[in-house]
Amino acid sequence: MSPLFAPKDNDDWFLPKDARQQLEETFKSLKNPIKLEVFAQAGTNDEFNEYMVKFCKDLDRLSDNISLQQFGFRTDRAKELGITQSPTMCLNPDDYYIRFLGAPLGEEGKAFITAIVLASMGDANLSDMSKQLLEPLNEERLAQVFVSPT
Amino acid sequence: MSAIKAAIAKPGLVKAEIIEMNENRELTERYNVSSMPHTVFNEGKHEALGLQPEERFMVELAYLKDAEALLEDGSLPGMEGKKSPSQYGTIEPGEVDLVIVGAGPAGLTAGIYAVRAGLKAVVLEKNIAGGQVALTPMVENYPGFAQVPGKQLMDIMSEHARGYLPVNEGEGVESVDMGELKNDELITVTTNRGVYQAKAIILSTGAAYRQLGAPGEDRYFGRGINYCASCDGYLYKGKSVAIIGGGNTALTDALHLKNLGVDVTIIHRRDEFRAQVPLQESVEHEGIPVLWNTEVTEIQGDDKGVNNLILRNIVDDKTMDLPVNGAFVAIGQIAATDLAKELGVTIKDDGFVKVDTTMRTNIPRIYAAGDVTGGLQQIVTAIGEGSIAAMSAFEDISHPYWK
Repeated sequence: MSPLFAPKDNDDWFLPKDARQQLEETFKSLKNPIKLEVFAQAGTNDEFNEYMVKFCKDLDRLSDNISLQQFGFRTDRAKELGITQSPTMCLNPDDYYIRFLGAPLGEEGKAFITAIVLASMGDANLSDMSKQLLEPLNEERLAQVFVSPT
Repeated sequence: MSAIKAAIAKPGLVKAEIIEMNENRELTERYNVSSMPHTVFNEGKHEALGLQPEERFMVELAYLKDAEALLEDGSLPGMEGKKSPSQYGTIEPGEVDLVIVGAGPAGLTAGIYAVRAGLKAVVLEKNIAGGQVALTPMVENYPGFAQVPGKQLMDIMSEHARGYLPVNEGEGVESVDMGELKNDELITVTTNRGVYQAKAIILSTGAAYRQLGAPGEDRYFGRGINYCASCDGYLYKGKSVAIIGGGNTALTDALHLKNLGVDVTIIHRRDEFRAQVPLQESVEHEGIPVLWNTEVTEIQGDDKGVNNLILRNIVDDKTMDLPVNGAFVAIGQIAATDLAKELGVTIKDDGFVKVDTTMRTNIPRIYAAGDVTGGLQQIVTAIGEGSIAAMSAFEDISHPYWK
C-alpha cells in the first residue's frame, strides 16, 4: 500500500536526543548570531563532508542564532576565503579566522561547540595573564592545531 | 581551545585552524605530525607538542619560542627578577587542605571524598585527566559497565570529580617542600603555574610506560615510536607497524590496530605470551603474525620518521630487518615514583611506593593511592585506595597522629 503522505523528514536529526537537549540549553545563552560556512567538494572525504553538513544542519535547527551556509569549492566565496581542504567550516568568517579542517569527530565536537559559544559572546574568556601576554602582539600568527578523534 | 580563544581575542591578527589529521593526510605529513595534539605556528616557525596550559600557549604563540627558552634567558613575562614565574593560573594557587597529585581514577576519587569530608582540595595533573584508563580502547571489568571505552569512563569520572573540586590539567608538580612538621609549617607545592600551601598531599601519580632502551627510541619518539595504540593508532591506517610486548596491553593493542586496518606484527622476546588466554586466542584467530624469541636492537629512520627495525633472534642470534612505518612499545609499566623518592617516601623492592592498609606512607602528611602503590593495578583498586587515602588525610588533619 502506498502511503498517502510523503515521509516526513522533520525527524531526520543527526545528533542523538540527549546531545540535542544539552545543546539547546547551551545555545539559549547565545548573544550574537553565528554563521557556519561549510565548504565541501564531492568526491573527496565524502563521509566526512556528510558528517560535517549533518552536524551543522542540526546546530542550525537547534538555535535561531545559528545559521548554516553551504558552498562548493568552485564558488566565489570559497576563492575569497582561500579554502583548500574538504570539508572546511569557517566560523563567522567576516569577523574571525577560525576554521575546522575535517569533520569535528569525537573530542573536536566539544571544541566546535565551545568555539561557537565564545564567538557568540565576542569574548575569549581568557585569564588576566593570558590577556596580558597577547596584548603586545602586533604581527600575524597562524596556529594550526593537529588533532585526532581519540 | 587556546588557539580558538586567541583568535577571538585578537581577530585580524590571530588565525586558528583545527585540523583533523585523518582527513587531511597531506598537511599532517607536511609537518611530520605523529602525536596528538601538535600545534604548528606560522607554518613551521615554531611547534608545540602535547597539551599546554592556556597561558603557556599564549606565550609561545606571541613569542614563537618554547616557554623554557624564554624562562632561561629571563624574558618570560611575569618573572621580573623572581626565580619562578607567577600568575600563570586560571585558578588562584593558594592555601588548601589537600593537594592531590595525579588525576587518574585514584586521584579523582580521592578528590570527591576529600571535599565531601569537608576539606578544601585540588587535583593537579601534568597531562590530561583520566590517567592510563583514558588511553584504553575498551574496559570490560569495571562493575556497572559491561563494556565502556576507557576515555568515556574517565570523562564520566572527571565530570563527577569536577562537581566537587578543580582538576587542573597541564599543571605538573615541579617540587614539594614539606616544611618543618614540629613547627606546624605547611607543605609548599610548586607547579608551572604557581604555589600551593597544603596540610597534606596524596600521591596518585600512577605508572609510566617502560621503554625498550634501544638506540633510536628517543630520537623517533612522536615520529614513529609510540606507547599508546588508542591515541595514535589512527595514523597508521593502511600502513604497517610492529607491536613489541607479550602481555595484555600488547595483545589488546595489536587487536585494536588490526581492527583499524593497520598491518600489525607482534614482536616478543619469549616463546610464549603472558597475556590472558582469551586475548591470545583472539590474536591467533585474527591471524596476526608473531615473531617469537625476538628483540629489537635498533630503530632506524630518516627525517620523515621510523622506517625500519633491526631485530635479533635471541635463540640463534640471527639478525633481520623489519621495514615498518611505526612501532608501538607495550612492555610494561614503571611506577612514577620520582616525586615520592625526592620526598624520602619508602619505596618497596618491586619499585612501588610502600603504604599501609590506610594508604599512609612512612612520612606524616603524605599518602599514596593507585598504580603507584603497586598491587593489582586495576581501576577498581585505584578508586578504593583513593577514597581511603582521602579519609586518612582527613583524619590526620583533624587529629594528627604525630602530635
